[in-house]
Amino acid sequence: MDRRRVLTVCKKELRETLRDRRTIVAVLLLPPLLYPLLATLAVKLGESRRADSVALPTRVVLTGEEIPAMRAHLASTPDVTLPPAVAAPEGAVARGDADVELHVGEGGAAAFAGGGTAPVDLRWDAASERSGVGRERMEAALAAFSAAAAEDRLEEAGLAPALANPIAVAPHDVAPPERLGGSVLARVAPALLVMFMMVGALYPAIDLTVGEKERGTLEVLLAAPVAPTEVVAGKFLAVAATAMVSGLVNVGSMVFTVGSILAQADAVGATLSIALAPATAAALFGALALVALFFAALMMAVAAPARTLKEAQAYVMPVYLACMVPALLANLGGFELTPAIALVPILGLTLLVKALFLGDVPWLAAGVALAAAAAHAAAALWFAGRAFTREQMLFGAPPPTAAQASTPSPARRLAAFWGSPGAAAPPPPGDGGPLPPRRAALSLVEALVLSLVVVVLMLTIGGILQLRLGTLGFALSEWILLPVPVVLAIRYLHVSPVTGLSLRLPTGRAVAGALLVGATAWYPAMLATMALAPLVRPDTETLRMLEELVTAPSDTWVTVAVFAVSPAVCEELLFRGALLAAFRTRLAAPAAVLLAALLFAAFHQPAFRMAPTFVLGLLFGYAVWRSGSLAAGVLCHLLNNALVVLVSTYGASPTDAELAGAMTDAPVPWHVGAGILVVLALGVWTLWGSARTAEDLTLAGRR
Amino acid sequence: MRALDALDLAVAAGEIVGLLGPNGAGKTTALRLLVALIAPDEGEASVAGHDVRRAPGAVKRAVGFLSASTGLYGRLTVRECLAYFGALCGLGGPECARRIDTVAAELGFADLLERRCDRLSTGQKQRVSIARAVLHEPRALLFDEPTAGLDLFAARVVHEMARKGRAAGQAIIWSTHDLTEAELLCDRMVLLFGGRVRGAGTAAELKAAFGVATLAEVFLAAGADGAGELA
Repeated sequence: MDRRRVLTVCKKELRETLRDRRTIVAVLLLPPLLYPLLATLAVKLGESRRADSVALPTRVVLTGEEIPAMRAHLASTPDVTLPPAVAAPEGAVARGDADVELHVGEGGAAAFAGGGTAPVDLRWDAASERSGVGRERMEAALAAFSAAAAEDRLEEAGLAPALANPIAVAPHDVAPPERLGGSVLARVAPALLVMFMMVGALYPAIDLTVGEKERGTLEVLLAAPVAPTEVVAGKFLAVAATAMVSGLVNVGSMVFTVGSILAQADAVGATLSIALAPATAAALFGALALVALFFAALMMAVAAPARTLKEAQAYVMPVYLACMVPALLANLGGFELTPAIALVPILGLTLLVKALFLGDVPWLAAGVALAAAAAHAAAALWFAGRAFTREQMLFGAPPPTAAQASTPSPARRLAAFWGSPGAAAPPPPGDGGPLPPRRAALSLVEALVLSLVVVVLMLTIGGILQLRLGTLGFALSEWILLPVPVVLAIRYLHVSPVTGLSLRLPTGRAVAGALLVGATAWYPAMLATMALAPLVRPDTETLRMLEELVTAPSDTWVTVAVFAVSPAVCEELLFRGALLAAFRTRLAAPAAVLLAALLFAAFHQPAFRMAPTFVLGLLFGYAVWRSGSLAAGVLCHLLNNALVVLVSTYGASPTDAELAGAMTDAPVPWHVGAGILVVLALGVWTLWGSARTAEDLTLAGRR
Repeated sequence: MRALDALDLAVAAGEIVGLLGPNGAGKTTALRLLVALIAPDEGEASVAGHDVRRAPGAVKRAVGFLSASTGLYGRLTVRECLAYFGALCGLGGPECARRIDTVAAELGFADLLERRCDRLSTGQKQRVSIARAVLHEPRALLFDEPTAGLDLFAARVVHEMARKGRAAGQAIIWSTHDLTEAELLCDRMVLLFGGRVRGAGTAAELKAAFGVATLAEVFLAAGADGAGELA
């Protein structure tokens, strides 16, 4: 790749972008103007409403029993009036006839007079600014009244008033001004920033790819002595630069806005500052640069297959909205930046930006987030690069005319674009011909994207569901977050479920083999755990949590349904169904089984669970490969999980030492273990020749 | 479906060869092959001794390509646009500026150099496109229906440029379905129907071969079996 040509392309694209009024307004002008404008408006509006409310006296009605001293105190309090006659005083606040109602409970007057405590309800209307101000005034007035009354009582008893106040509290905020400013920013900025940077990438990404195609300049450009990769790199840099500038402009504007508003606030005064430490500022710059690179590549990859600007928008908008979900989730709170979360696209980076604003950065997770974001950006860029080497991208099919009724959906067109190997373009749309036959399986790239989608869904929505709803949440996340993306992918990417998910009836031999393997697979899985225990020490806390989760349902059938049937069906559908078939389009069957098992293991966190699940994944994958039927995998998985779940349910609750030992000590004597392995081997042998036909063993001609 | 089948074509330096055929005959595909935009599934193609598959960069440096669309960047000025393509072709700053001035003077648009491309008329755009194609003084020129949509005056400028190129020893392929233009300009012609060559030679040779009096009749006779309708 020639750096000079890449820079030539980049410079020209930036020059063109800067002359596009739409980009300038949407990306560079609007956000920096909008923040101060909207924020100042909101603050001024709030201030003026409050000023109005503060100028008015608070109307107080006293209900319930009468405490004359309290009435007298309130009557002498400035800015408080006690309207003499209010009809039906108990509902006066709700009607707006009064701002606050003070209700002295039954026996309150006597208690007050007798030296006891009188219960007083303070009723106010949170929806009314004036009532809110009234509440603050009442709290202050009643506190003063209570303190004065207490003082009187102590004096009457001949005691010093200080006796009731052993300490005097005076709050002083010690948060450094940077942190204070940062915490205000951290509440609003990260998601807004990510969203505006997406917009910053979105417009130029569409314009520089599809726009160039639609204007007819792409063919001429690629006929010049410049490689497609150089064109992509140049355009990518220009899009990323625009997104980065948009991010910096936004950060600058936010800091300025928040700083100027808070500097005006009395509570903070002139001590507020939003200065970031140099290391933090550098990390923030790095994080923003990666956000820019990632979105630039992503938006280019998504937009490139489109034929028209309008079509590109139809492709890009769902991706834009999908990207907003993790950004908003990060802002909502409830997510900590951990190394695992840092791997989730966008979520990790948004949390990192938030942590940087707060000045409280877990540096290991931050490093993981930066590395993961670089990897995501590289993957997206690879996609974008591939798009530019496809004939369909260069010359495309002409946009469909109104007369051509049967235009394939955007999803199907995208599938055709990415699914077709090399430069082979699919038939042009609307040519009246039949739809192409269903594909044998998802492509390797589609399968990896599907895995990523599922992992993101499980880590975010799945995590919340399991945290909030326990067993039910686990079941819901298994039945919704796993099968739905798989089925949608198979349906909309036009893949045959028979080959793409191995949905074939198993033979009797396959069932027998699966039962033997399913009943014995736990033993090698435990051996793997033991072997790796010195490297990844199982922590008893997680084991205890898992044990409690499994033993939580009171009904054994519920336990089996949730922890054996659900994973057996849902996880097999993804790992041994969609993924295994997809991997076999590129890899030999054993390598595909291995890769699916690796992903299956990675799916089972924390780390000490990966060794046993990898072994299980290998066995289940083997079962599906040799039988040609997903049912064999489901049976193995079901039997294995059911055994584990039932042992947990009916066995005595283990002590911590037993839990730890369960992962490091031999589960059964060695001679029994040898017997189990013999049965397992028999199952493996039975499965070897268990496919119905030789064709069921192959996938699109691959063994 | 084969877009091109058994196409055997050689163009010498200082020669204009017309590529004639109906829409969808494979003319544009042939030109895209020669400018290394697409690779042939089988067979070979080379420009100025460079194979399109093995040395696409060298091929592109040796070729000036003028497509049916004008291929100019609306938001750039004419000078910026030409300088961009000049830089991609390896022309340095001062040398590039000199070439731009020379070509603009030859094609008669020196006064338009600082105007944005989206403010040019169709004829002006086509002149700038020609300038873009010849700026780096390529050894071969590929014209894909360069006069489509142009008025007579603008078309004449394009014809003149092609003749100058021929005189300067450039090898030129001129794809068109305008038979009058082809007869006026081209030294030889190749008739392409459905991706296959149905005739080749000078206008006189073609008329004699088909036993007809005009090129239009040659064209109709060559496409008589319906091959020309193949999309």
